[in-house]
Amino acid sequence: MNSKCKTFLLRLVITALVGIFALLCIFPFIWMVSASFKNEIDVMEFPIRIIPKVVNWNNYPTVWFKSDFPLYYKNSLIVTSVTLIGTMILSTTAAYGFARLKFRGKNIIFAVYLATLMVPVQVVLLPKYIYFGQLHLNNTFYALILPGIFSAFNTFLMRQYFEGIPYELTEAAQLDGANHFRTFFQVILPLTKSGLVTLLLFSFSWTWNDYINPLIYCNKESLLTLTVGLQRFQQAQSTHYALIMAGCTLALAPLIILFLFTQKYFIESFASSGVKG
Amino acid sequence: MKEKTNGIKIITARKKLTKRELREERAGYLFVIPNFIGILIFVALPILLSLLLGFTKWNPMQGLQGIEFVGMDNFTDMFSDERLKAALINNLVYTGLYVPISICIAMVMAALLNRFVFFKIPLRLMCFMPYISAMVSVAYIWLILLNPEGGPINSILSALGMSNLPGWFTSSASALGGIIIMSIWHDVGYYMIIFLSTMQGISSEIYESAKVDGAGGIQSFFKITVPMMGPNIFFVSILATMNSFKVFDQINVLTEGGPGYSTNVLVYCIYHYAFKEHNIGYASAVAVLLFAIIFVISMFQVKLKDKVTV
Repeated sequence: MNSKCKTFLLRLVITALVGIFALLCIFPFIWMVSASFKNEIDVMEFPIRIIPKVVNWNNYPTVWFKSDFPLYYKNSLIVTSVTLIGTMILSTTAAYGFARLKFRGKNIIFAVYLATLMVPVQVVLLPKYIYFGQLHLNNTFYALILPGIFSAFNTFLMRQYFEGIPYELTEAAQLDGANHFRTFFQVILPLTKSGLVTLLLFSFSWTWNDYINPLIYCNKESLLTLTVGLQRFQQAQSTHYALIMAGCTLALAPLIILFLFTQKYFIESFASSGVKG
Repeated sequence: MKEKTNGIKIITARKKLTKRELREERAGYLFVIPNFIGILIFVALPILLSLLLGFTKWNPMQGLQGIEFVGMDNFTDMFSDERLKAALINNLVYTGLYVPISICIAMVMAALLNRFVFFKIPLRLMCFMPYISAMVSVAYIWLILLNPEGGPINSILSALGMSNLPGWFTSSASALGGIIIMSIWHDVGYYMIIFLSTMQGISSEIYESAKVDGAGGIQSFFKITVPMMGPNIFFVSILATMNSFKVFDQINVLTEGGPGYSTNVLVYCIYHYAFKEHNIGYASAVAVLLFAIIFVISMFQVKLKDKVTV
């Protein structure tokens, strides 16, 4: 056997091995979708049948029309979109100030940002709950949106992108008479599209998947977002596994669809978030 | 030294700010202040409060008058707290298994994906899919997969001839194990793509010349890839360790710390004391302990970073 043939075979074997691992990664999702189309008695059948023996089309309509899922969807969409728009505006502007402008006190202000980055949300759950209670923010969307908009991490992220832009470009714009606002909107922002996409994907997936914040600050029935909503739904259904799996599929679908269409950006964004530290 | 020159710069700047510099400064404040005010109110202030509350006893029913400073009492109470002790042990077990297993799987898979496979892009996509999914949703999938009564995983195990099947989330012997397996499944793709993106920076010439010298794939993994990835492996291990101390979602959804104290972890402890027992001062003190642990880990990272990267 020549060596070319040998490497080809080796690659084939390794592809199969990695393929098995990758299948293990997505098996729960496949199983979830499959179970969501099954009758209750078929969910636990063994050997596992991925294509249901009898397809039950009623699970999704039941979940959608007989529970509060439409409400959870609406709430998640409101919270996520307002947070995204807000943080896009506020963290990019602040990042521009930190990255490109000189002003007194900049280092001290930035130190506050860095310090808050050190403290995970889990540590401040409780004081934030009391404090938000005093501000009458608990059980309003503001309790989720405002801390999401004012994000030290997002500011830090965008600052890194802005710092990478050559100074010649902004200086040229300023020689042409552009003020800082025009420089920001017409020179800096168009040059950091990939940074903006990263910011968008990060904020979207965090806000959409966030569980602990809605659980504590915003758990009134009419304001539930998908994660806590799904938990309520599961508690109400207890052992109706097919329905629960249909609910999970509905809750996961938006982000997974977004991921499949933008996987390259998604993966690069998350990979670079790890390298940076 | 650096700060000194900065200081001098600021002083000279104060002496004579040109019109242009003044404009720049004004713009700087306009750009930064709106965000900074929000950060102060919604992020920084609660952090300061969290440190203070740890030293109080507070029954929230009495409003703000009910706050009473008790010094270190909350912290001395910790020594006789069985729930907290269980949480610390569980967190250590969780970290001790979750971190090395995730890192090893992620490293091996990244190395294989990097150089030896067909269909690299779709395989990478599949491995990363669990990480972007909400923990709550996937927790319910696993709850059914690991159901001790006829769930698919136990059915497979019993078909493989295993008797004495684990009760997973219903038994205190295996609940933490179930949580760890699920968490590794959820996160390993993330660590893998971090490794992968660093590995792509290692030039293929090094591997070629190692091959010429007769090194096989496994040998070049241990002799080239692992040493060159050293700083990155270290960084990801720290990241994974910090993540493992923040674990909460899956525990609150699946086991609520039980059965018994078997899956009780630090963040769940905070949640339990604060929102189930309304013991606000003590819960804050546990939060301070959690912060101290995370702080020590991140200091460890800062201190060792220079040593490892050189």
